Amino acid sequence: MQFVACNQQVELTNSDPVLNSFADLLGLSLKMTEDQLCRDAMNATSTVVNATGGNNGDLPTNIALSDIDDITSTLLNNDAWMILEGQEGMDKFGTGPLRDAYLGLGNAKLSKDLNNLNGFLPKWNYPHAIQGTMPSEWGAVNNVRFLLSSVGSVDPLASRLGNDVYNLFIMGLEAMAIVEMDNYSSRFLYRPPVYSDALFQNYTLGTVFAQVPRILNDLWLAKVRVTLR
Amino acid sequence: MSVVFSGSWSGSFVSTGASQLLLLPSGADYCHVYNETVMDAAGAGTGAEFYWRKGMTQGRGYVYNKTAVTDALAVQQIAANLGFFWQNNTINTPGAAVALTGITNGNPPVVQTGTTAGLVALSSIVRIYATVGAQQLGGMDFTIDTIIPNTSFELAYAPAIVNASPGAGTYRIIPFNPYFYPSTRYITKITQAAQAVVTLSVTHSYIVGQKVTFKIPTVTAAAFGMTQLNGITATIIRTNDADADGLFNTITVDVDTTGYTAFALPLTNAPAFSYAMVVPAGEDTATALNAGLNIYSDATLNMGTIGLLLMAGTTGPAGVATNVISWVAGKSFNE
Repeated sequence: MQFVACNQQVELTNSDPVLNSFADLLGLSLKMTEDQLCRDAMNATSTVVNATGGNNGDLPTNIALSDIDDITSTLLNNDAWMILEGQEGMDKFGTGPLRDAYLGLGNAKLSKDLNNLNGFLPKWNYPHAIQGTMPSEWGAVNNVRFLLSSVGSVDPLASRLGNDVYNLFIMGLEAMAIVEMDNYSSRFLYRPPVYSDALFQNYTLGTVFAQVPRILNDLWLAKVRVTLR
Repeated sequence: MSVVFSGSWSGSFVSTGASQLLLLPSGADYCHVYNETVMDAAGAGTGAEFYWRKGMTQGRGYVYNKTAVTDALAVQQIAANLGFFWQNNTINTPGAAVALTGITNGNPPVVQTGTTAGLVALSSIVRIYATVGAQQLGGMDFTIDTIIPNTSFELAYAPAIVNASPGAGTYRIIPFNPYFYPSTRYITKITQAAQAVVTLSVTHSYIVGQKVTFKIPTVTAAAFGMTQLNGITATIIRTNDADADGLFNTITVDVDTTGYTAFALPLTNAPAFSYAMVVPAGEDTATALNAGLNIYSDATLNMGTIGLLLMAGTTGPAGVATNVISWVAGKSFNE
């Protein structure tokens, strides 16, 4: 939960822009907190696979195409459904068809290593780069589409050689869910001065949420640990 | 003007002689602690009142000792690591790198090091890095046992390995377990038995009735050996049975491994591999009911805590056993 309190000086001057600005910040904070909880739940409880196909000499290694294909094969054999539908090839320069795909969630620091993978298709080279993608999407390799974030999972100093380990969560449909604990997932709450303060001088707006992330089927999700090149 | 930001929390507890965590999920800017037992008694040079504020050095704070004879309070800084620690177990950053000089072929293996500061037997978790030999242990976490100060400590639940001493490397202390329960654990041994006994590298908190899925990768012809168990989901029917080496950080599962290949860790020169592990995978409610245990123990539980850790001792804010301690912590406007 987080909240912001404003004084009457705001209320009497430019309340609406200030409230709009705080609503943006609180919404961002709420969703990032949700992401972090899901991330940490997956990090603690999901199957671990070390990347072994890279050549940096560490354990886990940097990510390689073989690591992604191994996980894809494992998920397929576990009957995990793919989450995203493919995109048919189009007659547009530089684009290529996109396969049905599992989702791969990772840290933004993996962007360079993904760029270097054979067969990596950047988001901008999708046939429908604008309509059919998410803002955090970075690109696709074979049957995995990667979403990267600055708050993606990192285990500091966790590799055999003492380097940071980045966790890529590759998952199929309904591998993970959010359980609403009190009949709601999250709320945005605004209490005007008449309710917030005995002297009608201060008012608050904030967010709360009551939810827990839960892996529904461990066979449909894998945590791939990788180091950087 | 009315104020919405500031506030305080208070409480009391009876000291057990161990450190005490005050849960303060909204944070705190200051904390006062009062040892009522010491304040009631005649002065004996022990801590009566304690003060901490946000920004102080971790493990420090101030103590007012009640002086013998005069009962006057004498203030001083609390000795290093005996005062207050602001603690957030959702952020798990390993401690500083400490040099080790070798890992022996003992059972369990013994890590030789000139520095054992901060280690507590059967409690601390360490991670081994960049060793010359014993590379199969690299990146794995282990609970430690017998410590010989500034000489060595044991990897409590690790199997015997090929001698890697002398052999330089480093270790770091891992301050917390993952804060979501139940978490995964790495496997160090599995018996070949009608009900397999599985030894885990870090102290576990699984209970009877929980189900786990085994991940036993094939690394070499010999390691991890018991690949017949890979992918099998089993029910925990007992916890902390003795394994073949008489160690008790184990789970016993309803799988007959008598005819399976022997489990073995890879050797130091093995190719890059994934660890053998157990992954929590649900609950066998019949087994849990039969044992009189929680049938929902597989539920994902957020064990995250944010608060102030009070250290015990005659001049520590958590006092000594049976001391009655009260405290007030709060948030306020900051300049």
